[in-house]
Amino acid sequence: MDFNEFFYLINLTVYAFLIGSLLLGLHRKIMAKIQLRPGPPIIQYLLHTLKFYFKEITFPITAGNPLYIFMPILQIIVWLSALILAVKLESSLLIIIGLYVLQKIVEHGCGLSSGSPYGKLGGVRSVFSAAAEIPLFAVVSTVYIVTNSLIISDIVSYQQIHGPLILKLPISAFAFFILLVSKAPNSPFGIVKGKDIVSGYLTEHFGLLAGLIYIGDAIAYFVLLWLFIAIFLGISNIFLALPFMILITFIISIINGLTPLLAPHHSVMLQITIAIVVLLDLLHRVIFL
Amino acid sequence: MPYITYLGERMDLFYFNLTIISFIFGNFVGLEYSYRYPPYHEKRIDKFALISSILGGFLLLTPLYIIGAFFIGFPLGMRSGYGRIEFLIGLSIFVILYLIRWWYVTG
Repeated sequence: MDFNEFFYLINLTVYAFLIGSLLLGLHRKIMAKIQLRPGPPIIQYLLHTLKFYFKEITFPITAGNPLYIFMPILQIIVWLSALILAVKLESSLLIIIGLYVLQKIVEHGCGLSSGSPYGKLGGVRSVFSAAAEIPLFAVVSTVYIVTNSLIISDIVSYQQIHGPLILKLPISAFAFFILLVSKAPNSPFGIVKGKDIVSGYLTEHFGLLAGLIYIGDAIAYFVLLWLFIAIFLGISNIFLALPFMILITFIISIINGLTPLLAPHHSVMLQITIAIVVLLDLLHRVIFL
Repeated sequence: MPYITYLGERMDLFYFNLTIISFIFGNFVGLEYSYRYPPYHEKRIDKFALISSILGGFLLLTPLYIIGAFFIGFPLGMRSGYGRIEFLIGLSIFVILYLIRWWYVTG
């Protein structure tokens, strides 16, 4: 890798982090306005992230230390890899899904290594909510049936000729959108980090480690929004995707601001129902191809 | 130096990152500035924020757009109840000037 390529990757990472942070800040602001609160400034998420770097670093007595420290680092590794594979290389969707599933290991590992009952419950719920991945697999299969490829650059090229996939696959687009909603903070599907269990798997991670998780979350939000825009709207340019990212964040904020947190079994059943609908759509496309 | 109005391939990611950082810094300075005043004065227009916003709206269309992002971020970052109208005025100026120039360039 030459210097220019390296410099571009650094810039891309900074860009993803800053845009992800600002969008998550905007998300909080819009949610607050909907709930008739003044709300924090839109740089609040960024300020939170930076704040954690000046906090004292201690480890709970109950923590299983190697795993406790390694999990936030794994979070960064997972989403940086996803960023490079998706946005830079426009690589295969299957690898991105593989990385997305690794996120479950992060959540589970964070929760279980902390030793806190809230963290453990968050970890258990994380495994429980693996139902959220079923629509994702179904979406990818449907996209493959239509475009004959799983490479993101091919899918984008297909849309430049045949128009956006959101018009051809509205059910899949909806399922992917629900995935975006479930990854956003204060989501009705956010049982893993639900306030009923304090902060779920994040409860016992503080200081520098929490800062790392926050950075990972910001990059994750950026990557998932970009994936949705690239796969269903056919826009892979990171600058042109920006207005759509703001628009989608606006819609997600309205949904999250108006809906209460679902009970875990309700959340899972709803996601399984969406998965069944997408799978029926897939079946229909396979039979009548 | 690339030009912010030509969105797309010509835009350099490095300069765009600098613009965002400048915008965030403007937000931060605005937040600090507004905490000198009592909370929630909705009807009040801050002259300093208004000037900053208008200046930012103009500068965003020039090669000095990095500084423009700082100035337009200033009113947006102010605490709740402050800077909303000022920011919208600056943003409107930017959008109107951008559309005029786009219309002029495309013919």
